[in-house]
Amino acid sequence: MFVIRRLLALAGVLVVSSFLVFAAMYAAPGSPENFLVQGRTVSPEVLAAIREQYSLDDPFLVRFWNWITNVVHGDFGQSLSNRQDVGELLANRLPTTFMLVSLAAVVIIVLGIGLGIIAGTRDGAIDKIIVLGSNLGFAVPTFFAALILMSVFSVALGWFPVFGSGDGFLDRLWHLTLPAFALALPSAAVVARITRTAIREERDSEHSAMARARGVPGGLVLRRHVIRNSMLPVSTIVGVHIAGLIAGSFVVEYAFTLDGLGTLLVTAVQRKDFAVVQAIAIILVAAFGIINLVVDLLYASIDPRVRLGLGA
Amino acid sequence: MKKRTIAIFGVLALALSGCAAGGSDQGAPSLSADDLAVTTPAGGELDLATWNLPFGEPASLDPIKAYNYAENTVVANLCEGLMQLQPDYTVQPNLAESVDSPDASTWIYTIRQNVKFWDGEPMTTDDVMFSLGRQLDPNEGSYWAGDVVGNIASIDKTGDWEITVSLTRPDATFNSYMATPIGNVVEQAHRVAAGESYGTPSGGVMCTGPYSVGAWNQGQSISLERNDNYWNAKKVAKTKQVDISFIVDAAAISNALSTGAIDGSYDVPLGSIANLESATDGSLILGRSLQIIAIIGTGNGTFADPAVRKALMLATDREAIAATVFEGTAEASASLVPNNAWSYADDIYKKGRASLTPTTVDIAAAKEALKAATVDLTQPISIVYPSERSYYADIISEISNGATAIGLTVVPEGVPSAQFGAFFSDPEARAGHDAFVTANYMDTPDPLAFLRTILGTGGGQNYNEYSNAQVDGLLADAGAASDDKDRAAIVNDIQKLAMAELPWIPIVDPSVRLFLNDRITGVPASFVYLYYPWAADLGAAE
Repeated sequence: MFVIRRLLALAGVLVVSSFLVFAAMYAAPGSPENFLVQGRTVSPEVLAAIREQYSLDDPFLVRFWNWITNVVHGDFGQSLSNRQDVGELLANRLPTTFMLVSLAAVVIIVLGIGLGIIAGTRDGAIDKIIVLGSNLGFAVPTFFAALILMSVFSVALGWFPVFGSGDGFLDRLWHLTLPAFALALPSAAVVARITRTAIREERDSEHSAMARARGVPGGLVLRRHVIRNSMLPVSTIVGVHIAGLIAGSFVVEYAFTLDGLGTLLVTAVQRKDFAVVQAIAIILVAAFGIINLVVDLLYASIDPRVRLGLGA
Repeated sequence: MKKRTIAIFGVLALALSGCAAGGSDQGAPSLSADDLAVTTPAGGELDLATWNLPFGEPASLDPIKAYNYAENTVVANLCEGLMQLQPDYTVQPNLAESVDSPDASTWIYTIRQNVKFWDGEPMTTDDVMFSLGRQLDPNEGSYWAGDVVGNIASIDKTGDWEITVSLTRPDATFNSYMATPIGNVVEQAHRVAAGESYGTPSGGVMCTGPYSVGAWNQGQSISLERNDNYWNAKKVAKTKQVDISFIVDAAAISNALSTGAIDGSYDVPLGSIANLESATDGSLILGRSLQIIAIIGTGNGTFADPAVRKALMLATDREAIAATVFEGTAEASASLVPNNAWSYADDIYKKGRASLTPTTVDIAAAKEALKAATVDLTQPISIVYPSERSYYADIISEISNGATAIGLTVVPEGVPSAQFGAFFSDPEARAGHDAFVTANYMDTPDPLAFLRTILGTGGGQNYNEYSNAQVDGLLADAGAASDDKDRAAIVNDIQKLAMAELPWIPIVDPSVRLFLNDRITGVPASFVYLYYPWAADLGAAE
């Protein structure tokens, strides 16, 4: 029931947000057919023919209605500049962005939570080094991290390719490793900090002190009481950051020349390519909603009180 | 001729290496048009070469939708015109065997026989009629359907292998446009069968060129595959396959080229120059060009006064812009016609250019020119540029320095690319702004064709609605002048008027920035790669 309600709300959000994006595109300066001809002066007859072919003269609400009814029927329309079905255009790009974000998510979870736990449970030099590293990681902008990683690991050492996203699973993995690290770095740093703080709080809490006093072995206290409890705030922050990766992947896709959704979105916005912008906006909003839903479900499995509806 | 161009190339290589050794704290030495390369030494057979398009992925391969760097650089190797632009800028018969012009309003093309499309079908006169006719059909939506196409009165089949084009107004430059996509020939049956998907990865094109389209991996790369049955046996491509990537980020381009991941590229970004000049695996070659960077007046505000524009031009250190912003790869513009951007009457054009105001800064003359201004000089002049391209900000700040010296205020105004594009097409977008920047190029190496778009009443690039009966008269006279020398003499007069009126302020003439890995050679270095099959000349360096 909870899941169905959430999914219905998500559908509502999708309709509203796609309307807003459509309206914003409509209000932006310049007309699509002029972007098509790249500012060249062509005869008014040609411009009229293009407007006619893409129904650009229909009133705003009619265009939105036509678009949304087509989407319900699974037709995302045709790209204005590429003259291709949007579905076809996205099919080539989705796997790259999906894999890039998944890899980055793995890096955030493994590196962020892993280092956070180490820093939270050990004192002294290791803790200090991890805190310093996470400060650094958080301060380095993604595009700069991309440049550094590329010049060290691709150009100087030659371990990774300089551009492109590869074919086949292993080749893709090899191509996307550096971009994923560049993309994940700031988020991993934040997650490490939050994890460290949460672990320290739980470690000093009364119930873990009590457990230790009762003679429960240290490892068991750590796993059952400290780490599990500290995962509540951490899972929220991890979810938010992973959802944000999709929107942030553009910078990395651009720097590493990956054929992802981000680069496609930017060119489409620049060319006022309605159908493409709308489709990608929907994908972004849906992905954001679904990831948040997954985080909430995860909450329930970490903390039984959430599932029972008793409140935390 | 060929020998001379190769000699020039040698001189350039020396100049470049000297430049790299000397360091660049003083700014690169001033570039002279004579230093620029036209070709690179011929190469041998090669299996695979990799190339890059720094302006991104082509949106379509349909020649009539190809009117920019990305599309044309690819389509030039696929589809051919009745005429062909050569690296030395001459225009030679290609799919037409010969051309005859009794007067500048009538162009008679004898179509070449025994030309085959990639699928083996012979090219017929009907294919040519159909292809030229596509320009005139609004439903085909040609991006080239501007002034030149609009001037076509009729296209008639006047013989089994003969087509006659009649123009409304005489235009001596018309034939040179047959080397652009306006004159490109595609297979009629294939165009009709492909329908809406024509020119896309699924629909493709069917042409006669030295390469056909191989795998098109969208967002990443496109492969050109050699046409082994190319009709011109002497010009069969040397390289079997050319993979073209779409890397647009300057740092990524530097890395790809300097590590050898990509073999070569035209138009390498300004941000890559320093890196590529010191690359150990290849060299940066500067080529003869048809490009110009200019400030376009919108006809609004203080900048609308020609006296203000003249003063600003005189006060701006354009040589400094060429040396610093372009790192010595450009030359200060003395005219709205880029230097050496002509294919005929060289001595007349050189003389005309020499009579123009030199490019050196002259504050006294600028102040003098400003006295003729009739507008309110206290208003700031806003020059709009796409904020993603920071080198424009550097150019405008240099202009602003000059403006300050003569008591004017120039402010740069960055807008997002999406909004900037509208400045070229939408008068409403231009309202409230004085001027905007442009990186422009000539469609054909004929100064008349270029000046006509800027100065002619209703011209395609006439953004300040300039209209002058004297200029229009001269443009018409030049269009009717079939004799190259007569035409050049009239164009020189137009150029003089253009530099007095300055609808655009010319800033610098950028050269072609070509990077070639040491393992490849052969491509032209001049600005012909938008319409000439450059990849067919690409081969292995010995």
